[in-house]
Amino acid sequence: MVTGVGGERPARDEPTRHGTTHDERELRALLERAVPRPGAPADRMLRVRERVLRRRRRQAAGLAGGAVAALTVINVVAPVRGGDEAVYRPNAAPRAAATAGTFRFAALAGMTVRLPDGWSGRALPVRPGRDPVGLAGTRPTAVSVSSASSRAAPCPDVQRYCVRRSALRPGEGLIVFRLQRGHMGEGGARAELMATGPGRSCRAAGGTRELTGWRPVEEGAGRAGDELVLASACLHRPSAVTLAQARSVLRTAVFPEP
Amino acid sequence: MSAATPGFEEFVAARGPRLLRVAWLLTGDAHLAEDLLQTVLAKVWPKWRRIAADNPEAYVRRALVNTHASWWRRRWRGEVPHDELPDVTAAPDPFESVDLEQSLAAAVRRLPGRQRAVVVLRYFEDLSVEDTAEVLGCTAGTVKSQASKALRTLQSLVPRTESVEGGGRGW
Repeated sequence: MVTGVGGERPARDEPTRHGTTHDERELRALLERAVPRPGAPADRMLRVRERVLRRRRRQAAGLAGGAVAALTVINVVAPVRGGDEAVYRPNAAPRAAATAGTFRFAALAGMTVRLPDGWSGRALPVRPGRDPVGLAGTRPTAVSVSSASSRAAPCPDVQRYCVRRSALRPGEGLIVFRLQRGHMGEGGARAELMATGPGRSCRAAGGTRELTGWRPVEEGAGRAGDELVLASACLHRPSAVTLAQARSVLRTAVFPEP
Repeated sequence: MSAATPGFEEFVAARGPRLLRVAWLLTGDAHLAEDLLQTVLAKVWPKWRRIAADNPEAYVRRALVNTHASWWRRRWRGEVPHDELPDVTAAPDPFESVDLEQSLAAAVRRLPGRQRAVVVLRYFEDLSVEDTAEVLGCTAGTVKSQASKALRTLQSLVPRTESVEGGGRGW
């Protein structure tokens, strides 16, 4: 290397009092100039959120891996009667607790959602060692819950639940809510339902659109503040109205005051 | 997202440009750099409340380096080193500084992954040897030796010209 001009500047490979050589300082200056300063894309945060949502969906679905035999199986058994399949026809005689208005999921930290007309909610029994789960959709009260082995009922899973292949009919949707623990981030941020692309299990169930979002559970009243309710909506050729209805369900979710 | 994570979006807005430049230096490609940054931000966000209490930028920087290293190990980014570098020009060139900078950036991308990470952290992010070692999970001695090798390589790859600091021949 070349020694600096005059006697005042240190030699190139002679450390300065900052412990760096002239070459190193020169390299810093060059790098600063060499690296471009690209502008941030306007949708960077949106992309980041989508990535988080996709990961959460995968994580939720991945929990089912290897444990299908122990899963609860939801069979959508009630057919849509007397009509064009492309037309959304809510089941007129739902069996479970609520059909419209609000629905409270006690096991999901007491989360209450407002259901659109024609939608129903269903709280599933809490099973030891499993995340509490609740359902909402156009026909969730028409599902029968039973235990079955993977051999007896091989089926795709939606959020650790099996839905019969092609169970979702055109215009129908099913939202699976799951209470998950161990989330220490977000700082209270929530995510509305956003398209994450239909996953394998949603497609197998007949879904053509999948949306994922979440609501954090506020800390207090015995809550550690590390919980969130993950919502995964699987829909089959939803109309704009159905899409809006699905989104509205999570948007209206509230928890009891801590 | 209807409610922003306190601090996260502000952090991204404030530090994103710098972090993107770090990513660019690691990847050598604007699109990959943005992809790398978004990947890391998506990893960081769910842990933000914990991270923000300490030194979030250091955490994100470390994640950038480690994530890029994992990409490199998996080879699914198909990174291709630049084979050709600009010729050294004998006569003064009004665009010399531009060429020099481009050459330097290209030369950094030709460095082995560990050396490149050391260059990025030590000379672009201006971390100390100790902090660089911590990010990379190696010893200070390793950082020094890697930095020394990287400097020699860069000096051999990049045409020398007038020193940016004045006086003598530089890079």
